Amino acid sequence: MNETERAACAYFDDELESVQREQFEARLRNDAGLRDQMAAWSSIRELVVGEAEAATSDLADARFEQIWDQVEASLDRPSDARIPSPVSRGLGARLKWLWPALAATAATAVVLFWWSGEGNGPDSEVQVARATDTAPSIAGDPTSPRLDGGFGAPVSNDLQIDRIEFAGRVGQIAKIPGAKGTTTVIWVQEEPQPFDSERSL
Amino acid sequence: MVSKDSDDLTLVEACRAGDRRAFRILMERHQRRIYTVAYGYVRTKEDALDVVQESFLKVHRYLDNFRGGSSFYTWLYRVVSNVCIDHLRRNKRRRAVEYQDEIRHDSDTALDEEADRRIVNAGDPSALLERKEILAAVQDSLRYLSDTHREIIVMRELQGMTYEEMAQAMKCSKGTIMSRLFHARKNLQKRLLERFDEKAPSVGAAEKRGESVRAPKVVLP
Repeated sequence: MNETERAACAYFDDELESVQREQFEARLRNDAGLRDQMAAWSSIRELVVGEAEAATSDLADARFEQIWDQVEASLDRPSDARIPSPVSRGLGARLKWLWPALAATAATAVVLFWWSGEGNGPDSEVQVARATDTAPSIAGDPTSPRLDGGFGAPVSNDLQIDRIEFAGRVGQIAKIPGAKGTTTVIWVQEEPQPFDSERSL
Repeated sequence: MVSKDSDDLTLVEACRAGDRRAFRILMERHQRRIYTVAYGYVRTKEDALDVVQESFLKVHRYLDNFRGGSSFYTWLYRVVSNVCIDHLRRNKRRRAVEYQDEIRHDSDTALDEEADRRIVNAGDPSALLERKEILAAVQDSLRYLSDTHREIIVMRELQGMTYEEMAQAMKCSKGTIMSRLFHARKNLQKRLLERFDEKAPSVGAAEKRGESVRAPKVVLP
């Protein structure tokens, strides 16, 4: 693309400053080829706009009514209710897909607690079997190593879940000791969401 | 209380306050234009309608992102553009093979000048479009363009975006935009003439026969 073509393009699209515009118009007066180019682009513009308008004019209003029925139905659903911004959405809403995993983890924790606290009772194995029916497979696996240590203070033979996979995502479980006990944290690797630009809309 | 006569910004404010009726008035005002732009990108009516619906929901959801720095119209069409581009990507119909702008348009001054004259001599575009074969030729030509070239044609010719706005939307420099637009127009022009020759040989025939030719005659492909 040479300088003349750049200037022609910018002139046609009304992107030149007034001084440059006047200079280009002076060239146009003496250059039939440039004038043809402007006229050709103008025709193409009209053809493009006309073709799109022809497609639109064929469209019955009823099609938009159908769209509105679906839009109204979507907006009436709580999940589609207007949310001010993806950035300012509540943590709970953004991580709602995490709840099933948290539920499963909680179930496992209950099992571990039960096992560690009352694991010597005669009914313990029955309880474990029941509790782990819906828990992650490792807890329900009869071949899993038995846990003897107290919850929050694992000993060397304890079963520790430090990595979970669910719905195509991966989470790391870490235990952080503190003054009031051990805090269990689940770190979830989330795909980056480009919420900070209009491009993401 | 908003009405159909309320301006866009008043309606936007009402929407933000939760007025669903204001949202509908606002979008109904623009829906045919949104459809036109969507059709320009995706090239089928059903896909364009899908884009319209998705755009309505996106606008409703993200209206708070509109800060009033530009007109609502400008913001709205950026949202629609993004939905269209996402739609094309999602449907894996994007063709990137002609991303290198110059591949299809072999710059040849003599050919270009003759092509310019033939398009101009073809006649009044609005009258031409009343002929079904011409309309079909234009549709074919737009479909033939790469997605990148069609996007830039739509942004400029249907949406009236400035180079700056297009550069932001396409995440490239204004110089790149100018180059893409130039080559997109040249490719479109070349394809149009080929399709005119196939579907409506009478269009621009006088010029093709060499009548009133001011430059050396060049046989078009």
